Amino acid sequence: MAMTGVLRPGYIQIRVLDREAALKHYVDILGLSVVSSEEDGRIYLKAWDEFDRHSIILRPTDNAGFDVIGFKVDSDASLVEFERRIKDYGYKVDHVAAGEQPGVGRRIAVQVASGHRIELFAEMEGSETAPPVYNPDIWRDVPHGMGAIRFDHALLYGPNVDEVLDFFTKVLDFSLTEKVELPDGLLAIWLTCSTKAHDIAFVKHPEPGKFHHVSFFLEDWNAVGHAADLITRFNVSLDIGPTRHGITRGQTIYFFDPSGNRCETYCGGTTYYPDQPVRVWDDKELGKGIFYYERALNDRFLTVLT
Amino acid sequence: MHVIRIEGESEIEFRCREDESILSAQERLGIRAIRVGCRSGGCGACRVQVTAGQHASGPISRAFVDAEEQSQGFSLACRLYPRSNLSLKAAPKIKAPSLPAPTDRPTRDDEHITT
Repeated sequence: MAMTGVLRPGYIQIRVLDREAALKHYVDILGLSVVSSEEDGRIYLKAWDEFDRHSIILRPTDNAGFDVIGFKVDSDASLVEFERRIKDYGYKVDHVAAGEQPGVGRRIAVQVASGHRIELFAEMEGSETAPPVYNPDIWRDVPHGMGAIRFDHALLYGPNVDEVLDFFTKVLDFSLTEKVELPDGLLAIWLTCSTKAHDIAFVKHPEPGKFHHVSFFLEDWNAVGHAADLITRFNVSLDIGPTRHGITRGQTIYFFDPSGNRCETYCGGTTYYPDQPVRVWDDKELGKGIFYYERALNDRFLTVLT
Repeated sequence: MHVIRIEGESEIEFRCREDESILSAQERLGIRAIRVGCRSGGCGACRVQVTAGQHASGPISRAFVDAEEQSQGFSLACRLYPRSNLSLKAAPKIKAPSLPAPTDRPTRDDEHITT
């Protein structure tokens, strides 16, 4: 199957409490670069291996957490088609004019049943520091900090995970790769629009619109170890790791930005193809599913959110 | 160094520098009187109420402590720096987590090789 429709996560906008502290975290520690700072306060950043203008947007305000995640689709015709399908599903579609984010074309937005705003866009300006493509060196500028390769996925917490699953699979053509089923119902879902183990994930939670983490891709387990070295060297607030997930099999470390938003840097993980069955976890081995080495449920990891 | 007194069923005292948050001092000393979350003012896990003493604060999410609550001594311990001896008590706004209880026996595809 060729990849059509929704291609990948394009951007995520995160609220931060302290502009300077956030920049130190996302630029010096994670290794992103600032693309622009705009008059409305938002700061646009990107990782070194991304071709589009930006992927991470920080919005300084007095309340940390998640604003929006935007997925890139393959064409404007797909935007038209997804708008029709979203409306047919019974959800309202919001329109954002081209240029509301610098360099980004028109966007459509929907609030899903977990309370999160999901946007789709087809056009974004290319980056001035995009990776080379002609006899390309491995990178243009030497990666710094943790050397985050790309914005990879996000995990969101909110209610109505069954409906979120139904919407993402029926309307946006995502596939369910892995899930946690408890005796009282569906707890968590991992969804992909590509061949990755997940492009977005949701965990059931009573309060809508909550943010668990934004994840950045690293090259290998050594890079995860290097991230751990930086976390301790610069006294970054550590959550857990380096470790591995049973779910997705990703090798990972979790830490918090200076506003309490959780970040992940990870590598590895399963590859998805549409002919594969869904991997299922239940309460008997959930500890191993979440952290394969610790094999125990972790209060802070599962319940601390912004 | 100032003495921090955590009120509660079993009262705890520890010492904290002016440049160290109360939550950080507690963690460094291996004390678990206040719940540790993000340590960055964003998640609300370490919400406390100061009942006596002077302190300075850093940036915190208003979702957990609004301006009026802050004037009543509420804050997040991860962003609370002592300026005198302090008394405080845990004042969580979000309920303690309830994690799914594990059941007795693993089930997997290869169940026959589990011991």
